[in-house]
Amino acid sequence: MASRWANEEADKVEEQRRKKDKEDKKRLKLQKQQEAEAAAQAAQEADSRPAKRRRLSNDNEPSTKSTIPEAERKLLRFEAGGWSPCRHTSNFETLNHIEEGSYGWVSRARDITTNQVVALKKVKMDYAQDGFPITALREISILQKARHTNIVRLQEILSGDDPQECVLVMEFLEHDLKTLQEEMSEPFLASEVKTLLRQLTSAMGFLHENYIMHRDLKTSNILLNNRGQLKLADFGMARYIPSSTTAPLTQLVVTLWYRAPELLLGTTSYGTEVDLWSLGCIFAELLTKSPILPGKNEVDQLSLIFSLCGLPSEKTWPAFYRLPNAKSLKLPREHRHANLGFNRAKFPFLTASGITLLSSLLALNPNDRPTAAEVLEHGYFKEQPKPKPSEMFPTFPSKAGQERRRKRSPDAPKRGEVGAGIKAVDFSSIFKDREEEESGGGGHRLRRPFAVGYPFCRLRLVALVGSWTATDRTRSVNDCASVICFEICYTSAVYLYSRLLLGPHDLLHLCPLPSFPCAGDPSLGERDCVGDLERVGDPGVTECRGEPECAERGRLGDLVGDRSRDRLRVRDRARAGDGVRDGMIG
Amino acid sequence: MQPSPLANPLATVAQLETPGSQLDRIPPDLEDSAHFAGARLTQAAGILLRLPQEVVAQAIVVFMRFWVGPEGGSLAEFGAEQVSAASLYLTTKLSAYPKSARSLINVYAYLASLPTTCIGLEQLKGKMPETCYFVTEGTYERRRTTLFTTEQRILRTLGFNVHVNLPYTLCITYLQALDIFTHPRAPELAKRAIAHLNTALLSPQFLYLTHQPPALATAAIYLAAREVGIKMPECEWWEVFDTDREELGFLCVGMLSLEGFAQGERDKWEGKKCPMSVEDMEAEVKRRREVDG
Ligand SMILES: Nc1ncnc2c1ncn2[C@@H]1O[C@H](COP(=O)(O)OP(=O)(O)OP(=O)(O)O)[C@@H](O)[C@H]1O
Ligand SMILES: [Mg+2]
Repeated sequence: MASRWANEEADKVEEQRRKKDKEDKKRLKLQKQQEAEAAAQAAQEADSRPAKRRRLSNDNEPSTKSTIPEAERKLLRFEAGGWSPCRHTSNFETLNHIEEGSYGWVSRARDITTNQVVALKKVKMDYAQDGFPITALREISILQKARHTNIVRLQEILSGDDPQECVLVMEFLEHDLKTLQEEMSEPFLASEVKTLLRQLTSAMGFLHENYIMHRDLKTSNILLNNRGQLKLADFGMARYIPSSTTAPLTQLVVTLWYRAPELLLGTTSYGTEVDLWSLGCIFAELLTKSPILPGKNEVDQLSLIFSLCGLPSEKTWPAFYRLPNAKSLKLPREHRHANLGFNRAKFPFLTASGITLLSSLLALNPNDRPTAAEVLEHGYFKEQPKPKPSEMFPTFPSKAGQERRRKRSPDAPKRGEVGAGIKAVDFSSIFKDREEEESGGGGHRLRRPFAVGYPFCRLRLVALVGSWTATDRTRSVNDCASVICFEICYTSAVYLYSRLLLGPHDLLHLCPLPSFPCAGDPSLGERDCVGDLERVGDPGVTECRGEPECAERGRLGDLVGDRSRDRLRVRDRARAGDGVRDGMIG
Repeated sequence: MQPSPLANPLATVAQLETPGSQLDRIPPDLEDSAHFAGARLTQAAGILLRLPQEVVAQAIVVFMRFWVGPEGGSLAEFGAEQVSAASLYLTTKLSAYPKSARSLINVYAYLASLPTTCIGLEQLKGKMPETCYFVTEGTYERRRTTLFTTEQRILRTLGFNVHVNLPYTLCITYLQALDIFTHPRAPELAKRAIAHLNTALLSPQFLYLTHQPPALATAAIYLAAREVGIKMPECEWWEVFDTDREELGFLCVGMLSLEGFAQGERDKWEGKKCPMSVEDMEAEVKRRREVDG
C-alpha cells in the first residue's frame, strides 16, 4: 500500500518534470524558429534585390504587395533530372551472355567507370517500315515511367557504332523465375509463394493504376535477386490502356501458356484482366513448379483451360458467345455436370482461401477476376503461413552469371503485329464428338462407380474410349470416393477428347497427369516422402513440403481419427477431392 | 526516387548557355528565328494532321530539347523543318494518334510550298486534304530516309527522354481549386490561360525546358486573370501551387515578352522564308557575312 502511494507521488513529480521539459523545449524551438525566420528573411531580401530591379523594368510584374514577413512556406520542388545524349556501348564490358530472346539479346556487363554490374538488353531492330520500332520505343518509355521497387530499373539507353543499335541498361538480377524453378528440386514453400506473389501483384497494381498493361506476364519475365526481391521485366508487349474503347487492340499478346481465354477467343477489346489471368497461371506455377497450362497450340490451350477451370455457360460468362472465335466452338448441350467449376484437386496442398484466390484469378469471365489491389487484400496473404520476409529468402545459385542452356517454351507473340490480318482460330474440334456421346451411350458413365484404387491414368483412358468394362475388375467398395474420382475423370475426358482430335499419337504421352494425385498413382509415393524436407518459414509455423496445410490436416484428422496412416492417406485424397469443383452438387 | 508525374527533365544552365548551333557559329538571332519557325511549323502540321494540341505541344518540347546544349543538334547539321517533322512523327508514334510517314511528309511538303514561314494558323484549319500527294515517289523515299535518321538522332541526343508532362490539365485543375469557375467570365479566363501556355511553347527562352508544369500553369493563370480582370485571392495563392514569387515573376515576363518577339519575327520574315533547311541556313549565314562585309 505504502509503496503504491509512493509510486503515485513519484509519478506526479515525474509528470511535472516532463511537462516543464516540454515547455522548455517548446520555447527553445520557437526561439530557434524566429531566428531562422529572421535569417531567411534577410537572405531573401539580400538575393531578391537584383531580381526586384529586373522586375521593375517591366510594369507587368506581379503586384508585390509588401506583406508582413511570415515563416517561409515550404514549396514542393519537382525533380525529374535532365537529359544527355546516349552513351556509347564501349563504356561497358560484357561479362557473359544471359539469354537470346525472341526480341533481343540480354547479357551481364560491367560499367567500366563505376564497376557496377548491370544487365544489357540489346533490342533487335526491324527498321524497314516505320523508323524506330514502336515496340522498343514503348518498352523504353513505359520503363522510364514505371519506377517501382518491384519493376526492373532502366538506367539508361546506349547507342553503338551502328546508328540503329540500341541497348537498354538495367539493374542486374541473379535469377528469373523460370530458370530458377527449373533448377530447384522442390517447389517454393507456401510462405515464399506468398512473398513472390505479393511483390508481383504490387508491381501489377502500380502498372494498372498508371494505365499500363504488361501483356506478357510469365515466369521468364519475372526476375529475382538474392535478397528475395522480385522485379517485373520485359515490357516489350506493354502498352497504355487506350482511353477510347473503340480502338481495337491486338489479341496476339501474351505467351500462349499465360494467355487469357478471352484473348484466345479473339477479343479486341480487353483490359487489365488479361494480366490477372497470367498472374493466376504464375501463382499456380509457383505452387507446382511447372507451368499449369502448357498448351501446344491455341486449340489445345483452350481445352486445357476448360479442363482446369470448367466450361463457360450463359450464366457465368454471358459475353462468351459473342466473342469472334466462340462461334466455331460448340459447347456440349446443357448437361447435368456442365460448368463444373474450378478443378481444385490439382492443388491438393493449397488452403481453401488460396484456392478461392487462384480460382478467382483463373475465372473464365474476365469480369469475375479481382483487381491487383483486391488480390493484395486477399485473406490468403493474412493466414498462416505468413509471407516470408524477403531478407529471409534462401539464396539460390545464380545461373545468369554463366552460360546456360534453357528449356524451350513458347515465345511471346511476334511483336508489332496488328490485330488485322490475324486469322480466326477454329475451335470447332474441341467438343466435336462430345455431344453425340452425351446423348448416346456415354451417359452411363455418370452412374458407374469405379475403384478408387484404380490407377488413374488407366481410368482416364477408359473414360476416353467410353467403355467401363475394364473397371469392373477392380471395382472398389468405397462408393463415396468413387463418385469423386469420376468427377476428376470427367474433365480429363474433356481434356483428352481434344487431344485425341489433335492426333491419337499424343495419347500415350498425355495420359499420366502427375499433378492429379490419387491413391495408386505412382507419383503419390514421391510426394509423400518429401515431407521430411522441412524448412522454417514464419516463426512458429513449420512448413513441410508436400503436405497439406496444417488446418486442412486437422479437419481430416477428426474424420478419420482411428484409421491407420495408410488409410488416412487414401481418405486424404478423397477428402481433397470432396467438392473438387466449385458448385458441384453431391 | 519516384519521379513526380508533374515533372519534366529540365535543361541545365550549361546546356542553355551553349546550344549546339552556337558551336557552328550560327548567329543567335537566326537560331532563335529557326527555333520559332520550326515550332510554328510543328503547330501548323499538327493542325493539318488533325492532332490534339497535347500531342503537338509534346512534339514542340521534344523539338526544343533537341537544340540545347553543346551536345545538342546544330542548325548547321539539321534543318529546323526536318527536326520538326521527326519530332512530330516520334511523338505521334507514342500517342494514340500515330501518323504514317507518308501523310507526315505530304503535310510538310504542302507547308513548304507556302510563300512564307509566318504561317497564319487560323487560316490553315480545314485546308489541305490529307489525301492529296505533293511529292513524287522518289522524293518520298528520300524524305522518309531523312525522317527516320533524324528520328534516330533525336532519340540519341535526348538519351530517349522524349516523355513530356504538360501543364494543360494542371491549369484547369488549379482553376477549379481556386473556385474560378463560379465566375461568369471564367471560360474566358481559362481560354486565355491556355493560350498563354500555347504561346509559351514558342519561347526563345525555352520556358518549357526551364520550368516545371505547375509553375507554367500558375503563371498562365496569373496573367490571364489580370487580362480578363478577375480578382484573385488576396493572399499569395501561387504558393499553393508550389510556385514562388520569383519564378512567377520570371515566367510572367517571359510569357508577355513573347508577343513582341513574335511580332518581331513576323516583321523580319514578312513575305520571306526563314531558313528551314541546312542548305538555306548556310546560304543565309553566307549572305549575311557578305552584307556585313
Ligand atoms: N535485368 C536483368 N537481370 C538479369 N537477367 C535478365 C534481366 N533482364 C532480362 N534478363 C534475362 O533475360 C531474359 C530475357 O529478357 P527479356 O524477357 O527482357 O527479353 P526478351 O527478348 O523480350 O524475351 P522474350 O524471349 O520473352 O521475348 C529473361 O528471361 C532473363 O532471364
Ligand atoms: Mg521475355
